[in-house]
Amino acid sequence: MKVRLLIYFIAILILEGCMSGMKALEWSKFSYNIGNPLLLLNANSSVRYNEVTLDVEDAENAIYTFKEALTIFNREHQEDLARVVIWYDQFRKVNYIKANIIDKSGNIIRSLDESDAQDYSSFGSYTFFSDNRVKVLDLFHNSYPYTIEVEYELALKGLLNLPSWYPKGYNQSVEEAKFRLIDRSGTGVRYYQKNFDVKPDVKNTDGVEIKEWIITNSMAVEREPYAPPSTEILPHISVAPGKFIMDKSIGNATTWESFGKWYYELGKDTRVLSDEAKKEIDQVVEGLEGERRIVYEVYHYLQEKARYVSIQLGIGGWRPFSANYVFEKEYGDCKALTNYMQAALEYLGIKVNPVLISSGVFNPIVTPDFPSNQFNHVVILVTLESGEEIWLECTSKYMSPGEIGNGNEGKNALLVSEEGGRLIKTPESNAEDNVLETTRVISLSENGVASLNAHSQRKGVQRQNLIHQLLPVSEKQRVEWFEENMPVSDYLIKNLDFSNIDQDKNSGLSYSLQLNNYASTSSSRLFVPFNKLNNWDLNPKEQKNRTQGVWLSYRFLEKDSTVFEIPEDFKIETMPKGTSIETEFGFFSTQVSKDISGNIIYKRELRVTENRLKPEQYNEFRDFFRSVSKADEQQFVLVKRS
Amino acid sequence: MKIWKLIFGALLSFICTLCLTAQPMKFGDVPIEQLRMEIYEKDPAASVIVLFDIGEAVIDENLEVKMKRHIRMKILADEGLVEGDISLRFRHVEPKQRISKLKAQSYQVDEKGNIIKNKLGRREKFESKTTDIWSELKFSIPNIKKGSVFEYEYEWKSESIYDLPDWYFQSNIPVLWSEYTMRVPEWFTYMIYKRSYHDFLIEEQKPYNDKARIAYEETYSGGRFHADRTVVRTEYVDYTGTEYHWAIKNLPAIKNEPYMKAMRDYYTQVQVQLSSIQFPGSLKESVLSTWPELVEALEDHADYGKRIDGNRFLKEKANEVAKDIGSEKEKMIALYDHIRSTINWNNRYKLFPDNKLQEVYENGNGTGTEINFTLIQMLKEIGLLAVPVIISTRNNGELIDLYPISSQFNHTLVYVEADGKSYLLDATNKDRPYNVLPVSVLNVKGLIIDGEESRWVPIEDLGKNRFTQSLKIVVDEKARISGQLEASMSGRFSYLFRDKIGPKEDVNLEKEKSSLVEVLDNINIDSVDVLDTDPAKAVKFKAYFSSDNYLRANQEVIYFNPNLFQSEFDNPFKLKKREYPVDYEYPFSRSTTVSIQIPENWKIDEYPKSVLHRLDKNKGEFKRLIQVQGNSITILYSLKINNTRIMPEEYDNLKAMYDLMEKSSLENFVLTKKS
Repeated sequence: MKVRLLIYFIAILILEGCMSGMKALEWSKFSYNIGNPLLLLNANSSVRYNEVTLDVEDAENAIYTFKEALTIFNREHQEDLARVVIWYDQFRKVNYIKANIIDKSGNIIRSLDESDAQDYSSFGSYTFFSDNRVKVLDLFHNSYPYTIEVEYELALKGLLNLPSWYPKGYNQSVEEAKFRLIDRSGTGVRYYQKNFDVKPDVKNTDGVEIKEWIITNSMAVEREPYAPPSTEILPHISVAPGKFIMDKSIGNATTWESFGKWYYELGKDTRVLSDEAKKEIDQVVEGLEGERRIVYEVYHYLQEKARYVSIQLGIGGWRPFSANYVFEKEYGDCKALTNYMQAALEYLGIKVNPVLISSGVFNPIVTPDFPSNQFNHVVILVTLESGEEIWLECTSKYMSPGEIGNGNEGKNALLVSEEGGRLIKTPESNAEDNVLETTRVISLSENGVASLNAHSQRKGVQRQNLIHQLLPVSEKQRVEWFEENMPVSDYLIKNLDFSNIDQDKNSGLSYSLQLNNYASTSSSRLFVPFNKLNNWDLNPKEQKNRTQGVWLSYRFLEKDSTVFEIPEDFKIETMPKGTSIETEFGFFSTQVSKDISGNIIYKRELRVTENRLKPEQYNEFRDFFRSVSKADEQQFVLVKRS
Repeated sequence: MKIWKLIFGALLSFICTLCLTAQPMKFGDVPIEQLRMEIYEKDPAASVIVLFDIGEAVIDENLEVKMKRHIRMKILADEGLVEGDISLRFRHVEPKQRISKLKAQSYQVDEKGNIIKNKLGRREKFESKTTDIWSELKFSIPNIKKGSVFEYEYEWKSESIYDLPDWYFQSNIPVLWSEYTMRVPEWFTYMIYKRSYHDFLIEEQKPYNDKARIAYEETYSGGRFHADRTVVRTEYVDYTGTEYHWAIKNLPAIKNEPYMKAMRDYYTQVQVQLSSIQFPGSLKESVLSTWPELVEALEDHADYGKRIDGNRFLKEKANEVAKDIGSEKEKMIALYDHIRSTINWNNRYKLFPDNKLQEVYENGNGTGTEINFTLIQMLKEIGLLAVPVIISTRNNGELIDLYPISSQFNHTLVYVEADGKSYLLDATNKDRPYNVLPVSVLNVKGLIIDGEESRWVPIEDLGKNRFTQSLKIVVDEKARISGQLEASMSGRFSYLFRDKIGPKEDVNLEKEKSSLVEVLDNINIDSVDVLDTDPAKAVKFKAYFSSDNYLRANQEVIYFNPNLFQSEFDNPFKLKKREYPVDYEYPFSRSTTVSIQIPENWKIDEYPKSVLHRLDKNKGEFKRLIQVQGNSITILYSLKINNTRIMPEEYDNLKAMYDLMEKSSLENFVLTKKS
């Protein structure tokens, strides 16, 4: 399910957002003469005319028609947009495709149809198997600007997911775009519009409700670095069914409660455990006291037992494999693994709920007041009798119980129970939860060679990132990982200890190195960088008129503390002072001092407390991190006593 | 003497065969040692290994190709679990291929030492058409985890005797045992190409007897009043065939590291190619041609040579572009520039063009061959000698001389003669000048397709790839610096630079200024002049910069690192050990001259030493020379790679050179005020 929906989102973006086709009339209208010069600003292409209709006949059937005329201004957008990709599967049938290529004087150069399209099976490298396919039509031409027109129709059967409308993509202006939503089903089709405020024109005749939105003369938008996902920026309309039928399964998405109920019913009968399975689970918990202990052990048992394989089949990838399948075959996708975990814990009398989620840091935010399928993943929430809650991510072989993972944090998510669904918010980690703390002793000798003893502790996301890289691989590969990630290259490893990386909730890594080149030398001096081994390297570029916010992956805290032992016959010539910067989203400080034995103590702290910033905070964000980089380059200078 | 050696060799291989067949390789028969194994001593980094991989291919009694394959693997770390998700490819259009008799099973030991087996269920496999031609059969091995052993077995069939499979003994994971047997009736001759950096344990051929059904036509004369009658009959015919047998053990994994060529060039492999067919009582029919025959076939091929057939539209276009241009070379460049800016490469290499050249031109989009064919056509239209050169790109692997077959090739370059000189062109990238070939095509050699004149031509980088910078820095009394940078890039560097300053047709230099120079944090680029942008010659630019706080100073002493533009000193070689040669793709030299003037009332207290590091056999060198005269300093940094292939045993020395470069880039000058 995870990836299937991801692809579905991409499909929508490309279908509606970027690609283009057009109405089969008045070709000459779409010659190059764009009247409004503002539409050329920052634009690589312009939607001259877009008309998308979604006509919902009943709970199971809908017709989707897409027409667009798009003028492509340059090679850059030709590469992106002149390749028209139409996704289909057993729930979406392509009725027809028509396309024209029109030169700048308005002459049709070429006409194409479905027979010109290539046909592939299509799923990303994340998915091992699914039944998605694509039709691909190349609409290339060598002289700009030129216009492509595309028209196609899809027959949708099974309405769990309805197509969205994206009148424009990045660097694309719109002359005229229309979206028509026709509901003749009486099943309560709903919509949610975002990032624009045109009101629909509504007509209602004989029980058929027609809504129409029109956007005209809309200027191109450029994507800015570190920006939120396009769903937070580009205008679009999402559509959701009320009552729906999907592969013979009947559901209702009108409320979160009813949508959750549908999902519950889908998996209800798949959680019957065989006697063998029960026996195995009994053995796992034998002699264990206390619910929390039991949950932890059953979770570890599942992590040991099964592996994640993404196979997306049935009800658009929504029907989970049965718990017994996972028990027997020991693999499954997120739904299947979660299902088994749920079955096991329920068998032990523990309260457990699956929670549907839109996983991924840069995936769209689930809109709370728009009940619909906005999810691509499922995790588990266990509630103990004491009221204590434990989150479980069942696709990870390495996470600790209670950890939800960076991609699942702070999300609107749907808690599913027998009574139905309830929208909740998943926990979010703070800087103090994601700590990387390193202590070092660096003992310098006259020739610039240093011996280093270091120990680092990682918590939260910092730890999760590490263990997902290191636990699946052999010891030798871990050493290679270390070498690849060391910011210096001329050194000898004296000791490297990975034995504590798997520690629950706090990974330790210790190492001793001989750094041949830590300080640079001259005949009487040593130039010693303070923080060569943990240099900050994010240097955002300057931007005037920032319009989009900033999204960072997570909040974190880095603490470094280094003791420099200096060679006896050297004294300090130059010692930079500490710094301290405080902003609304972060804090940075360095401190330099001397202890009684003449060692130099360097302490550094970098704390990012907010990972969603407003556009007007961009410059401060940039200055902050540039100051960090600069401070990290500082060095002190020692000189030989004469 | 010679004879003894031979016999000895035969004996040895006989003994080995005996001891190896003693290993159980029967499906389901897994020795406990394989299950108990925790680490593969020969490669402790391995997260999964192939215990054995055995293929037996035959041409069966119906003259179809059949291969039984049995493979067993061992998982040593979780990362290896993905090997349990298996995908097998087969062709679903004529001549069809089929996969049947699939069996798979996994094994592990429980605490009591019992072996637990789990079978792949009947329904746990999926089939899908991935393209119009190919399908995939996929399945996931059940119940595997770290420590598990699993195996699978299947039969693969093809209707076509052209499909007798090649065998790759090696892979990206270690292979303990790989064995391939091939049985071929006397009527078919296959050319066999073997490549290996390792010794085969078994390598033998022996005759075998069998029979197969041959279909033949018999024609009966109908006499005066009836038409002749033809009957197809089949008959079992005895034959003597040849059985080929290869086996090899303990092949190391081949891993992708930076600066490597196509992976499959490194694999130990056997490739087979049908060359002739001769049935009893018939003439020998040659299937595989000679090189001259291949050239002729390509020239006459409706989808190859005949595509370049004269076209009025392209002729007019060519004349339009070349009109008013004097020399042949200039015309050639004009047409090359026209094609690269007009036709977009769709990132596909394919030997045979799919579309007509006029369509390619009008669509402004095509495969590598399509684009270069259009160029050939247009060059011919204005009277130049232009012909195709067929090549195999680096990713497609090295050419095998033994096989004059077109399927080895995947791309076409342009060979052209202008003003008495010859050129090789490839118009697939919009910013690359005519005199630079893309790295992807630099793969030893290509074949010029030109009738009697056809010949091999080396495809290598002949351009001078140079990046030179000159930096003039003046330090003033307040420790501020100002200066200018002049950079000049030729050959591949000019093209890479063009690529960087913009995909857009009209490069907005104002906007791109700051990205022209890799800027250090506290240096301001005040202005940039691009002096020359023609990448066919050299791209040059000049930048003026200044900084108030670059110099690290306290009251009396100033520390000064003259490397304002650091990024070129990054060391790409982080791993301590290298398994394969470093392949640089092309030779190059980068050099920077820095001259620094410091104020009269300061003196240079300390400065770094000059350093030089040379690789053996003049394969490359790094040097930094420093000269101090009064209050002026001159520094020369230079890195040269002359030979593009550095062997693993030379890696330590190469790494040491980069370490030195990194080290010297960090060294400082110390300036003090005169008292």
